Amino acid sequence: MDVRQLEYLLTISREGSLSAAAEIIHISQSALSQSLQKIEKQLGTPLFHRTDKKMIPTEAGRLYLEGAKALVEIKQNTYEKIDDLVHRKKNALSIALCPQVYQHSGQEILARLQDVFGPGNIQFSELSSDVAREYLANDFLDAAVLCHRGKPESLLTIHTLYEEETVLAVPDDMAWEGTAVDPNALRKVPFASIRKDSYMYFLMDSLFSDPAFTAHIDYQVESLQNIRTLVEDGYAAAFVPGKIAQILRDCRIYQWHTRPSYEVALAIPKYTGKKNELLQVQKILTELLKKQSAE
Amino acid sequence: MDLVGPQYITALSQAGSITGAAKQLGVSQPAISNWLNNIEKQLGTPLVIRSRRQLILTPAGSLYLEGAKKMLEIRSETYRAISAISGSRKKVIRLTGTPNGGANLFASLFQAFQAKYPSVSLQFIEAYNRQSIEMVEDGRVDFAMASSLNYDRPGLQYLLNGKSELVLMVPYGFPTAYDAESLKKGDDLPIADFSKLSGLPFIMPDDDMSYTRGLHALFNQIGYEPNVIFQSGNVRIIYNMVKSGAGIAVLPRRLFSPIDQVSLFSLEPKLINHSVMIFKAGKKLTEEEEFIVGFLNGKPKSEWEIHTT
Repeated sequence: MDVRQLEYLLTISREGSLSAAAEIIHISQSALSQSLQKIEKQLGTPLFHRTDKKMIPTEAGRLYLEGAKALVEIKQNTYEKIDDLVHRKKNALSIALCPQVYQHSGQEILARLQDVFGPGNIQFSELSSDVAREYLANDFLDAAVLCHRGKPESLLTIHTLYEEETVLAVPDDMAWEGTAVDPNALRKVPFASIRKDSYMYFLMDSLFSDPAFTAHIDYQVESLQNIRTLVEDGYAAAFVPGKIAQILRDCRIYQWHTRPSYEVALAIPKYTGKKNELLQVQKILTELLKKQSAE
Repeated sequence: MDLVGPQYITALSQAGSITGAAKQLGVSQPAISNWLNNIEKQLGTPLVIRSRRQLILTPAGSLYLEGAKKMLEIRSETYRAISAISGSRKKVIRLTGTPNGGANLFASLFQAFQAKYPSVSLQFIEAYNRQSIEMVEDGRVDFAMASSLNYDRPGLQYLLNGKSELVLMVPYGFPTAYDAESLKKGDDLPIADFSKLSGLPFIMPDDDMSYTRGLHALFNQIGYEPNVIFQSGNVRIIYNMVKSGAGIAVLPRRLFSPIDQVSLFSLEPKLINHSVMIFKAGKKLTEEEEFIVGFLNGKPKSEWEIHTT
């Protein structure tokens, strides 16, 4: 984020003269003047009135300086945040949840973890399962709740939390009678799917090649959150995780005939220095999620 | 407001690879790799995980992206506000090209251009070849993205972007057809034997298309009379008709895919289509125009191949 040029301009405006600004920045006055001219040429409008005594921003200049100030601030802020992250307390537990779980019970889980470990000791985020795997492998995370489909993981310990069934959600306006999927009705329904290269699509890909899947995919979206919006606002039907189906508004849920499912599991790197804390995390998650399944 | 970093990280996250991001931005791969190495060194932490399948942002990378998006937003807001008060003295560059190929290229060009030259506005006008060239000649546009068999119009300059051979395509089941499934991209093709193809249904490009005249001249020369059943200005439509066995046609080789049941033949003499940028002879390119030409051509200025009649 190279904002040096912008800082030069802010200095000119603050000092009110090229010579004073050049002195502060430690460059020659002509170099500073040239860099200003270049920007003005690019914009096609002058940024300063050059009077005998003072450099005064034009109206365009005022707008430009306002933007420049905001950009410099965001840059500093971002660099500070990254610096904090790099030097964060190494003993804080960083835990991520996949969207299925995060959207359904993220708040509840976070509150419990903060209770037990103290609010300052938990870093909590929503991450898709494939990104979480990479983060675990690269030591950016201590544990993640993710979707898992049977394959063994060489570097992770997997603790299954529950089995998630994928179901079909159809907005009320487009839904049909009965509890079974009606291929003829489904054919006429606009359908939303998650982006093809995402892990969620990988979990569901067998559904789209099922002959019983007669719909046409009209929407390809980025996230489970987008899917929820499309279904709840009545634009499209979609396959959704069973837990999410429980909290969807204004739609009807159908079981798919193959009852497709995958595991939702807590994944922990095999070699972790925080075994005891993570055992506690596992206990908390098992308790909370089991209680919900019972409801 | 030169925001290289924010632009690069945004493209990286959208494209999911360095190659993809370079393509989207119209810069070289090393430009992005070097930037990434430098910024990671400066921040003391990696911004991306270079994994097998797809490039993934690290937690620090996600923070950087978040800041980058805000910065790009503020930049466009600022530019918009300034151009609103500085009125419509804006410089305009106009381009024309075909609705299929040209429009796609323009979309990627537009993004890169606006970021670099906020005060210049870029316009695209859709037109087919012959119209495009007329538009350059009478000054309605600054450039045409077009294709041409030769550089024969006086008063114009042609800058070569690439070449594609025009080949005869014959569907399976027709005389002389062969199994082309194992044909590699640059393989030599058998020569078309028109003596065995007389009377077969032929799908002809529209009279406006770049190579129609050349094709007629070639048929005249070898004494072949095509039995034209259909004409179209869209090479994709023609290719689909050949694929479905409606007839034979002469088309750019790049349309061919080995999974289609179509066999290919070279013409004699070979017909080569040049994809070119056309502009008026004697025109001196401005900095912005050179950026456009470089973006579309993909080569540094010293390697541009310019033909004048």
